[in-house]
Amino acid sequence: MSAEAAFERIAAAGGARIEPSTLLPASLILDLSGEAVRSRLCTFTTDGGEEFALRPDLTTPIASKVAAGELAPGRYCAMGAVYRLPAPGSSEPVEHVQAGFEWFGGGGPEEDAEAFVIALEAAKAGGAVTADVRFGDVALYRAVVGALDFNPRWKQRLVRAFAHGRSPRELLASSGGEASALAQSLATLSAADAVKVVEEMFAVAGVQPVGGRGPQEIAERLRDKAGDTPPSPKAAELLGQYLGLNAPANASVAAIEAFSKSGKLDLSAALDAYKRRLDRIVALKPPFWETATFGAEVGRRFDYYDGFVFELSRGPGQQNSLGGGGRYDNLVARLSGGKVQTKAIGAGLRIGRLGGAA
Amino acid sequence: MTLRLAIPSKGRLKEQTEAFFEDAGLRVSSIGGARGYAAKIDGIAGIDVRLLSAGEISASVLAGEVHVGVTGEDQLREMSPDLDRAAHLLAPLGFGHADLVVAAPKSWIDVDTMADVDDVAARMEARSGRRLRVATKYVRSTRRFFQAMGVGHYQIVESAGATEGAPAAGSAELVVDITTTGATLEGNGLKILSDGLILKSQAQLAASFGATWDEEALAALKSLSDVIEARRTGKGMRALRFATDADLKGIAARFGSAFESVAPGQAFCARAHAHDIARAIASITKNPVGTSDADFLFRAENGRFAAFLAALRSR
Repeated sequence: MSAEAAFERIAAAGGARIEPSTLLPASLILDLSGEAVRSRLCTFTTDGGEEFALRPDLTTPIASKVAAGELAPGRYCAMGAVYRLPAPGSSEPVEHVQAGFEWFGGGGPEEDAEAFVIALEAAKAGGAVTADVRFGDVALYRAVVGALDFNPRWKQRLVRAFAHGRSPRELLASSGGEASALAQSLATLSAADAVKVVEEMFAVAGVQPVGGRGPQEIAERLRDKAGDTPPSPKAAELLGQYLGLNAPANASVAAIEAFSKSGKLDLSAALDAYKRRLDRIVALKPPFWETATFGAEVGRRFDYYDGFVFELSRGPGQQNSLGGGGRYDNLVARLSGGKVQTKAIGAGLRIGRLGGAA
Repeated sequence: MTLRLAIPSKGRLKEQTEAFFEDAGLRVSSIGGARGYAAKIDGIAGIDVRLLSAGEISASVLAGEVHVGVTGEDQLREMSPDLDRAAHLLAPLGFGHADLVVAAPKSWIDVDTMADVDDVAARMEARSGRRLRVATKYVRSTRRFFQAMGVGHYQIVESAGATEGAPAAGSAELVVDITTTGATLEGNGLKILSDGLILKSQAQLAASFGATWDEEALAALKSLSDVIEARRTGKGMRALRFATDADLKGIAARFGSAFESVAPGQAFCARAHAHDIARAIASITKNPVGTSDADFLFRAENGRFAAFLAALRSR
């Protein structure tokens, strides 16, 4: 059967097959991906108010076991059902079978290439005849934001916007004006005096500090806001140019280099990793590679990916997705509160669709 | 089949709905005494009125169990993931005004916009590992709005009772709730964010796409809609009577669409211009001009009903 052929290819890359938990605490997924995913989660609540969810993917249960120290870093693969409620107006089934792998403890562009090639080969083994492959690089986006002339607050904001699925271009277009007079005058005071001013304002206006933030935190943030200058039009324009980049894989290095040269940006570290990854992929000659394209916006809204990211489809729209994957080096640290640090990459394929039908 | 119309069964919304229909000459009289749950509308045949709670009305419209219902847009949008596919807002009724807003503690003087919220939420998560909590009864609307505004890391705390008290009680930092004057939020030490307006809501006559629409039901709805629209239009107009031989070309040119000639000696005009127009006609004709309330103004075309019909047929 084609599903088994796909899984065999994944397992052949090494790694123990495991059976990840079907049922997860809902907070685990929500902490990871935000409240927005809740409308797609199959959740239920105990009488005591504790909330659980059926796994929406195989990555979360495996990564959380690694974060909890119950699984040692290493290579794992899994096959099983995942559950997502259909979007309004869509007739997608709630349940579908995914085959995938999650590798912990490796890292680097060569591993990116290996994981990517195995995912493509498994898709082919599973019956896919053609597949549109798009890939991106969240680390490259972050490098571009880092190299551009934005103040630190804007850099963080732009990185967050990308992860949460908001268009960074839209965010830039909505950027406010100068900081308030209050923020600017607090910035001229010492930190301690600024707190006193805020405390006095509360007393005069009869305002009780609520919502868990006291005068100290508010004064501190107001002083930060004073330095929060609106982004320069040139930086915004350049970021817009970068996000507009779409190129066939073999022309992508030239396109990114041309962008970095015209913007006079030093992207050498991220670009070097990108080139090494691409060289390795080319050497491994994966299927579906001739038509693969790089897109700067690929990976937007997948909160936990922070490096190489890719998706396979048989056409536009969610109903045609065949799967995807990417690097998530910071996820385990986030899940474990910093206790476990391990680099990671994974991929999942929707095997029921690979053969063409369904 | 008869047209099934659901209207509120209790409270202020019930009074306002009945006053609205009565103002349009449509008296709602309940069948089986004042506490009955069925009613009829005097003046239009073929309408079966059901008295339901506000929540039941929205649910019934969305499920197609009634043809039309009087209910708040805020509630319809909250209960439906995609309202435009489920129902058509046939007419705003001019009462039950409520704004669905995002409010933050007044003491957060550094927070004025949703971008500030995103920033504070990120700091909070980095410092304490906790997500910013938002108390609301409007879970779906909140989720949609926060996503559109790019605020990702927060947590909804479903509130059952007095949402506006959540920040003071320490069970949430922000609130999403409806407000009419803002006084309740203000009284609880909260302020509305400058870009925190999610929806300006009011009571709507909402028609269900999911209900079974035959000619009879459509005809009854058209009668109802015609009367409501005639009353709405009539309220904004005055009727004019003047000498039948008046030459009104100058008036028509000067007042444009605010003036509509009907027949020799008769016209309608926009209420705001009634006195100016009457004086202008009097000075042309050298004869007295009378104005009176138009009460109802029926037109050959009912644009709102036509829009519903087009939407229904295009499905």
